[in-house]
Amino acid sequence: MTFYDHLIEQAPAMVVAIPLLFAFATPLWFKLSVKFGKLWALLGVLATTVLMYILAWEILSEGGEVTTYLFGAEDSQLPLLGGNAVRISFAVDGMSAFMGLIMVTVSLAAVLYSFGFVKKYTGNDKFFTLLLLVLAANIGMVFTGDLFNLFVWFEVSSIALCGLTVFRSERGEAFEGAAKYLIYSTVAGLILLFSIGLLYGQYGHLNIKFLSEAIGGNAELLMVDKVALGLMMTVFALKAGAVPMHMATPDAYSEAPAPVTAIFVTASQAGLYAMFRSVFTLYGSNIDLTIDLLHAAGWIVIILGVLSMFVGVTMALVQKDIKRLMAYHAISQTGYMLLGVGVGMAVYATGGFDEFGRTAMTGGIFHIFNHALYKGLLFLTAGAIIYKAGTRDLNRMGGLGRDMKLTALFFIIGALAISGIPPMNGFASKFLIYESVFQFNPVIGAIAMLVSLLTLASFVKVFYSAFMGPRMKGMARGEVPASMLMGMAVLAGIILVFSFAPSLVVRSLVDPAVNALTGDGGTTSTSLTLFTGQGAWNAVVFMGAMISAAIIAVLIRVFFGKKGMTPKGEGKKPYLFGNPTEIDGKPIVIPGSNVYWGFTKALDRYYRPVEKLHSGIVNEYVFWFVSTMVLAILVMMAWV
Amino acid sequence: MTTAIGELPYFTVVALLAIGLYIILVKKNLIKIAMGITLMEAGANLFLITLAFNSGDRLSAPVFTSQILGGTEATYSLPTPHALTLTSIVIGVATTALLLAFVMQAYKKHKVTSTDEFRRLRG
Amino acid sequence: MTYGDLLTDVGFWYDLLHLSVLVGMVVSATLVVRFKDLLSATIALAAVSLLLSLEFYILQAPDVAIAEAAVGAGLTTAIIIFAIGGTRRREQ
Repeated sequence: MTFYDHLIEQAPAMVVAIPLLFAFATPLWFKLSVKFGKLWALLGVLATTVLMYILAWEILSEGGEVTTYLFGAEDSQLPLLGGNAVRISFAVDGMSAFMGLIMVTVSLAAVLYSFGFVKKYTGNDKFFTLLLLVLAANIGMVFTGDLFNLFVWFEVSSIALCGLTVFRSERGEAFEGAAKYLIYSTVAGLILLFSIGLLYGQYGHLNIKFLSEAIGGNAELLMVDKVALGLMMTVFALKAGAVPMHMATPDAYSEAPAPVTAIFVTASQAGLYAMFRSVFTLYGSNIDLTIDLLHAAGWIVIILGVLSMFVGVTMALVQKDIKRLMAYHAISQTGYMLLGVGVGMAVYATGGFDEFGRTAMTGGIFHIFNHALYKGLLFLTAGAIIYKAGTRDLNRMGGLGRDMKLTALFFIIGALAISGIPPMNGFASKFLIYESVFQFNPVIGAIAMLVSLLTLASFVKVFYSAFMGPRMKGMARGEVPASMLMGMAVLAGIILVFSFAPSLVVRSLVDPAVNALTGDGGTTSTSLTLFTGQGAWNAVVFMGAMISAAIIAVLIRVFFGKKGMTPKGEGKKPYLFGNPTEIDGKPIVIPGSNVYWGFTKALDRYYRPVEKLHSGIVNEYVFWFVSTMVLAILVMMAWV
Repeated sequence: MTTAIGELPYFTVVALLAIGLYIILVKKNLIKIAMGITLMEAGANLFLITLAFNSGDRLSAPVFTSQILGGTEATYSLPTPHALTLTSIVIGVATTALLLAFVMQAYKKHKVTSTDEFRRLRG
Repeated sequence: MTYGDLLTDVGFWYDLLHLSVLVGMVVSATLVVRFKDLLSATIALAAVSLLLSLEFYILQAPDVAIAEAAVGAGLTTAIIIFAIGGTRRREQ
C-alpha cells in the first residue's frame, strides 16, 4: 500500500484527530512565541482542510457511498458486523463529506480572519484552542455513525462555542448570551441523551445503521420510535436555531466575536445535518413502515421552516445592533433549508417526490452550502465594521465606505447573495426552492419570496447606515488589517466562482448528499444549466443578457442621445445619503432604525406581541423548547 | 427471580427529569437553574443505568471476578451503558462548571442572579 | 453462585433498601425545589447525588457509582458552593 492509500484509509479519523491534537498543543506554542502559536493554529486548520478535501474527493468520486471507519479495530475498514457493533464507528458518505467541506472552508476563513481580529485581546492561545476544538466537534458530529458519539460531539461543540462567546469578556452581555445558549443546549443535550437511551433500551444498539435496520425490522411502528424521533428532531432543530427555539441564538451570535459567529453558523448546520440524518437514515430503512412518520416529520419541519423564515426576517428588520440583525437573518435563512428538505420529507416516497420533492431537497441542501459561505462572509464583514466603527449600533455609525472600499465590496457580495439576487449563488438555491415549493403549496412559495424581499430591504438598511452618509464621530480611519481582508476574500471568491457554476456544485456535491440521505439514485442537473422541471437557471446566460442589455443602452445613448441633457447644479452630484441640505448646509442623516419606520409602524400589531415574546427570560425560552417538543410528539402520534 | 421493584427506578427517572425541568421552567435564580440541570442529568444517567439492568433478574456487575462465582455473560448487567454514563457524568460537570462561571461573571458585571433581571439581550 | 444470588438471600431487606434509596432521591430532589436558601438546596442536591451513586451500586454499576460519588456528590457540590460564594446566598 502506498502512503496515499494509508492516508485515505485513516483520513476519517485524522480529520477529527488533527484539529484535536493541534488544539491542545496550541497553548504550548503560544508559550514559545505568539507568532509560532498562530502559525501552528493555521497549520492545523490547513492540514485538516487539505485532508478533508482529499477525503471528500475520494468519497464523492465514488458516488458518495458510505465509507465506514471502525475505531480500535485491527483493520479499520472491516465491515460492520454484529460482533463489533459496540465499537464507535465513523460512517462518511456523500452528505457527511458535503458538510465536512463546508466546515473546513469556513473555519479556514475564520482562522485567517482571526489573526488580525484578536490582536488587541489577551488570551489568544485559548481562543485558537477552542476554535480548533469546535472544528473537530463539528466534523465529528457530521462523520459519526454512532448516536451516543453524536451526543458527545454535540456537547463538545456547545461547550467550546460558549467558551468562545465570552472571549470579549469586557462585555457583561457576553456572559449573559453564553449562559442562555448553554442552558438551552444543555437541556436539549439531556433530552437527546434521554431519547438515545429510549432507542438503546428498545433495540440494544447505538450504531445508526443497526438501529435503522432494527426499526425497519419491526412489524409496526412502536410508540418509542415516534417519541424518540420527536425528541431528537426538536433537539436538533434547537441546535439549528429554528423558531420558536431560536431565542438564545441571536444572543450568542451577536455577543460572540465575528470569526466565532461564522463558525457558529456551521455548528448550527451540523444540527440540521443531524436532524436530516436522524429522519432519513434512522427511520428510512423500511419506507413502507415509516412513510407516514416521515410525512408527519416533513410537515413539522416545514412549519418550523416557514416560522423561522418569517419571524427571523421580520425581527431582523427592526434590529439596530448590526450583529443581532445578521443573527436573525441566519435564523431566517435556516428556514429555507428546513423548508426545502421538509418538502422533500413530506412527499418522500410518493409520486410528488420525483415531480418536485427532490428538487426541493436539492435546493435546501444546496442552500446549506451557500448559506455557510455568504453568512460567514457577512458576519466577518460585520466584525470588520465593528472593528473600525467601535460600536455595534447602526444609528451611531456611518461613512465607513469612504475608507473601507474592499469591505464594502465584500459586504455587497454577501448581501446580494443572501437576498437571492441573480446571478449570486443564493439565488440558485432559492430558485430551486421557490420553483418546487410553489408546486407543493403556492402560499408557502409566496412567503419564501416575500422573505427574500425583506432580507434585501434590511441589508439595504445596514449598507446605508454603515457605509454611506457623513463620517460619524468615533469612526476609525483606514481599512482593516490584511489578514481580516484575506479571510473575507477567501469566502467572497468562493461565492463568486460558484455563483457562475451552480450546477457544478449541485452535480458534484449536492446530488451525492441528497442521494446519501434518500437512497435515490437521481441527479438534478446534467449540464451547466439548473433545471427544476418548471424552469431553468443559467448564470452565464443571465449575465450575458445583462451585459448585452447594458451595451445596447450605452449604444443608444451614444447614437441617439441629445446633447445638453447633462443636469446642472446640485442635481449633478450623485445622491448619497447625507448630502448637505440646501437650507442650512448640514448633512441629512436618517438613523438606521428609522429607515423602515413606516413599515414597522404599520405592522405594529404584529411586532408588539412578537417582540414581547423575545423577552430575554431564559425560563420562557426553555418553555418554548419544551412545548414545541410536546407538540411535535403529539403531531406524530395523531398523524401516524 | 424477578425483583418486586424492578421497574421502579423508571419512576424515579421520570420524577427527577420532571423536577429538574420544573426548576428550569419556574425558578428564577440562575444557580437554582444550574441545580435543575444537574437533577435532569441525574435522571438521564439513572435511566441509562437502569436500562443496563432492565432484565429484571438479579444481575451482577460486569467484572471479571464474578465469573469465578459461576456467573456467565447472561448474568451481567450490560457494560455499554455504564461507559456512556461515565462519559455523560463528565460532560455534565463540565457544563455545570461553565454555566456557574458565566453566572458568577455576570454577577460581577451587573449584580444580577435572577432571570428577570438577566435580560439585557432581548427583542 | 453469583453476587446476585447472594443478595437473593436477603431479598426483602434488599428491596426495602432499594425502595428507600429511590424514594429518598425524589424527596431530596423536592427539597432542592423547596429550599430558598441556596446552600441548603446544594446540600439536598448532594444528597440526591449520593443516593444516586448508591442506586448505581445497587443496579450493579460500581464503576459508575464511584464516578458519581466523586464527581456528582463531591465536585459539583464544591463548584456550586463556590459559585454561591461569588454571588448571593438567598434566592429572591
